[in-house]
Amino acid sequence: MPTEFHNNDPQNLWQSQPTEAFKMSADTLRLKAQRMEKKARLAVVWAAAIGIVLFLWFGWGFLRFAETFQSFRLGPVGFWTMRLGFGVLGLWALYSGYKAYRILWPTSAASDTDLKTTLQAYRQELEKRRDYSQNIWLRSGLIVCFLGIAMVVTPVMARDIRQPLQLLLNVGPIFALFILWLAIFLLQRKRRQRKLQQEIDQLREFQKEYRV
Amino acid sequence: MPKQDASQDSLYERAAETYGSALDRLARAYELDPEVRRDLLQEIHFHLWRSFSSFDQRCSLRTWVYRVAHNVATGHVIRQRRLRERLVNLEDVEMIENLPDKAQNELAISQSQALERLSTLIQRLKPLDRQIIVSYLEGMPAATISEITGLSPANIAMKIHRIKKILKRWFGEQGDGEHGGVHAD
Repeated sequence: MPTEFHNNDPQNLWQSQPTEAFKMSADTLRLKAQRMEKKARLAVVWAAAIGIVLFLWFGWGFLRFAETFQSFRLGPVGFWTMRLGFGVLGLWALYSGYKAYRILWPTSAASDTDLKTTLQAYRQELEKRRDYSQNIWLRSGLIVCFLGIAMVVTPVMARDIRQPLQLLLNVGPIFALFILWLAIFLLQRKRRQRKLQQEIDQLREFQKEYRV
Repeated sequence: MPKQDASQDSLYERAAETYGSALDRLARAYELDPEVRRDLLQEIHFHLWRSFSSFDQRCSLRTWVYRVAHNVATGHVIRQRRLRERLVNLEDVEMIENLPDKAQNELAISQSQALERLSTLIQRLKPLDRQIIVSYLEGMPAATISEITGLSPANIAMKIHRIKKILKRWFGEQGDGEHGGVHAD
């Protein structure tokens, strides 16, 4: 179709493009809000339930350690390290449930990001993402989780050190996978952070330059 | 129905009536995929409705609507990790590759082709510049764009000047201000 729409006038072109009459009824929106809240609450309940089940399981391991892991034949240091490892993992499970509650529990009020100027909102969103990415180990409690796992696994590995080949065969693949995952995770995180930081720096310079 | 709910609903009704088409176009500036765009549009409407519970009349309804819509759409761009897709500033627009070729059958270019060119250009811009170009295309005055974005009117005027130059180059736009465009007031 040859041009009849003032294609050399982008404003006209943009405004005359066909649009869909889209509107949601207040009842639909209210229903959607309720559904979202319900879904978020359910997710929190699930996360909390999993956290509590894990807490009970690790807690049971901690309290009844001597009876449960009798067959492991660990020395006193190994015994207490592994037992405390269960305790640490139990606390991490509780913390995870709490974090899920903090992150997912719905609030009915409008998010303050909606109401800011677009420049403020954009910068805030980028900074939030950068900070989250920077502190992901602490925020998600992964450090505590890995510490707990290390405390549980190390005594068993130390016990089997007299059979290094067997030990290597047992833990080698898992360890290699873990290192691979960690390397990919760290590389991706670094790349993401660099990109976010570049964008934030550009915005900062821009704001400084134009005294916004 | 509580009074606040009624006012929230009526504000939303008014906003959807007045700016419904503009919001649809805004969603097109942020998302090409029609399915995802519909979700984005729903999300924008939902946030808009929710935001009216705290509408304090400190700015006009139009500013409020566009702020919320752009913020939701920008959040969408960040979530989709589009920032990695080498989005550019207005200043670097020449770096955009694969822009449908202007020279190609320029005289007989159809509306849809021209729109495609424009959409491709918009989609490759970083969020802030995208917000400004979309507002410009909607024919908003610089003062309103300034209120929406938080940039100074002088800065907006400068950006608009750049946008006009770019559009003129890519679309052979007619003279400045002939089509009720932007006034740097």
